Amino acid sequence: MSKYKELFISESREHLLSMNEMIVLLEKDASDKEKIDSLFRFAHSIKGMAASMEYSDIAELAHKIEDLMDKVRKGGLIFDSGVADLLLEGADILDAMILDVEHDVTGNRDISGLVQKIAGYAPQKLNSTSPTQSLGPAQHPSPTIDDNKEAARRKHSEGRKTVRVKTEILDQLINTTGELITNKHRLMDVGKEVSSVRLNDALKENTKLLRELYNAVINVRMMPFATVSDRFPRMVRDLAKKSGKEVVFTAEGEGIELDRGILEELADPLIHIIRNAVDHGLENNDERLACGKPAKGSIKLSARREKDQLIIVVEDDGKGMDPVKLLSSAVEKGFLEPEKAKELSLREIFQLICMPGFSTARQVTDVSGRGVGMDTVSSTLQSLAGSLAIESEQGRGSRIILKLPLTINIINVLLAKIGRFSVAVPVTNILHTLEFKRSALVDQKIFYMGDEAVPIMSLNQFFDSSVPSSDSEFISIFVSEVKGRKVGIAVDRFLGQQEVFVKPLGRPLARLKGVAGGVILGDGEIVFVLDVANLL
Amino acid sequence: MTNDTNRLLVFTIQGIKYALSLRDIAEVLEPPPIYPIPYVPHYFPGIMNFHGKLVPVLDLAGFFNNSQRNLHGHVLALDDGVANLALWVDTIDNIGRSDVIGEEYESDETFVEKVLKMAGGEVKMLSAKKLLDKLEEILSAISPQPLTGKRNVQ
Repeated sequence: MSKYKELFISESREHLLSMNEMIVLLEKDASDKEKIDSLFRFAHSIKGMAASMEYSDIAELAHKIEDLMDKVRKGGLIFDSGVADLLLEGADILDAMILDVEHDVTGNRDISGLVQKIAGYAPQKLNSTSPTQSLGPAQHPSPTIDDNKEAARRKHSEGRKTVRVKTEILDQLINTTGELITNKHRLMDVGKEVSSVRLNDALKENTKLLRELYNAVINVRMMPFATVSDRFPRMVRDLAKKSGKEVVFTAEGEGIELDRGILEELADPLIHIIRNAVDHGLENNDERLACGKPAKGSIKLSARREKDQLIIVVEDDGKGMDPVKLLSSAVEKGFLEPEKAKELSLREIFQLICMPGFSTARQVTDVSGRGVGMDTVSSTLQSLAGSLAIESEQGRGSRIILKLPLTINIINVLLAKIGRFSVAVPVTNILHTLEFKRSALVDQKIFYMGDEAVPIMSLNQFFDSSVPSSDSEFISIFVSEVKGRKVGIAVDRFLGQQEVFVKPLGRPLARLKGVAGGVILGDGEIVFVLDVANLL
Repeated sequence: MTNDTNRLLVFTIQGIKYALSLRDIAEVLEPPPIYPIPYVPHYFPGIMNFHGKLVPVLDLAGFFNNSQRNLHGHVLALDDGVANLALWVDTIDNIGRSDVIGEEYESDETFVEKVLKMAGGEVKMLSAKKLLDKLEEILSAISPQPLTGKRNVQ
């Protein structure tokens, strides 16, 4: 692909994304002149680029969109839901045409119908129903979102002024940095053996430089959360229209930055969660009014940083989930033994919807108010060394909480010894570490953290029952949360915390459950990164 | 003209000759240091560092015949376009040209694509795809112990 064509595709897609976002925002508040101007400019830019590349159909459609926006700009046309629908339809077709360009497909689209529709669109009279009243879903713009988005966009466009970098190069940069981190540990091991002051000084300097390189690479890879969340207002608008519901969608923290690798993986799980919230979480208008709620449902997406973690919450004020029905469905479907059902905490009950096959069962979907795909969401989160928590209150709504590391390949782990194995546990998966006298734990299956009984599992028996455990007087335990429940996992001993570069396992070992990748330590030893949630 | 696409690597496992297409193989190695893989069958003796990539080693003698691998054998690292996998074999015989082989016939052995008649006798041409499909099936079916609360700390 020529570099001009590549540039055309990537820039046009950015403009389209911004167009979609602007259209939905204008639908909420048609009086924002700045946004009307922006929308006009995006269409104008696509037209200009397409014309220079001789993509005449794209240029023609963009030109019609530009004309339509010009009428709005000059006050000859009110920006109502009819205009929004036409513009969104146009943006979708432009997106498809750009995909055609990417795949070298020509003459695939007939745009004449849409071009005529846009050209012949009859303006509504200015004294007709206010556009904000005639809209489907969200009608109250949140200044916070706009401000955050603008800040994120400004930052992003500042970057655009400087240079464009292919994503493969960004991946290569982080991989090479990861390899350097592995090599740093190798050199440090040698440094311990050689015990040379000059070598140790050089290693310290090297570590400092590597830290600077790592921070720079991470910064280059960071993208605003808005890159993913920008699509949701449009998606919610379309879903709400389709289901006949009114939804106020708000977003916070769109300026938060995170690794592009995580961002790419995050889009599908969030689409699942938000779609479920609109489709199944929120009641329809009549049901809401009947139970004393405002007619419009609310879905709030928020992102925030907590130390080296990203916390994303999707919250709705819908009907919530009924734990009793979830439990009885789980038992009925054979997912749970009746005796076991009595032992589950509320958080564990809600986690049932993440069991493969559970949420796809029609009856369960009907009673639980949750749709398909939560098992996929959960496994994606786990593969990213993240976690998923679900909170819900009947009649009040649900909260889905996603916790993720900020970067994907270079993470902090706790190294532990289990028989002949060393393993790495992402620190983001550890709530606490404890040490017990071995004698105090013999035949003991639980211990208490405050009032909470925490079951204990031994990783030694998982890994290799034929190898005896360490005969140390003490045993080490780390506490993780698995499917909404705290679990103490016993290992022989902890070896320490380390920053590591996680490598993929590829085909066929990637199929092995319970391991999320591998790490080469400084002495050359290969250890596996535990995927705790899938191990148990 | 001969190129890698019609050349074969012939190797032996417990006296039986097998072959793989040369294009599926990245490198032939002396046994490297390997590190244990948790809860996999015995025919995965460990994982190795192959030019910075993590590559599990499959002991073909153990996999085919449930027997011990030859500690003085060789390791064939497969091309990473095929898999992240290396095969532990007893000996490397030769690199042959498939176009000089006269007769060949189908085999009903699971991982054997066909049997080739070569100057030195019969050679079983392995199917890397069938081998990998089977390994993926086996590994996917391995379920770490479920959370029962029955296990105690040793």
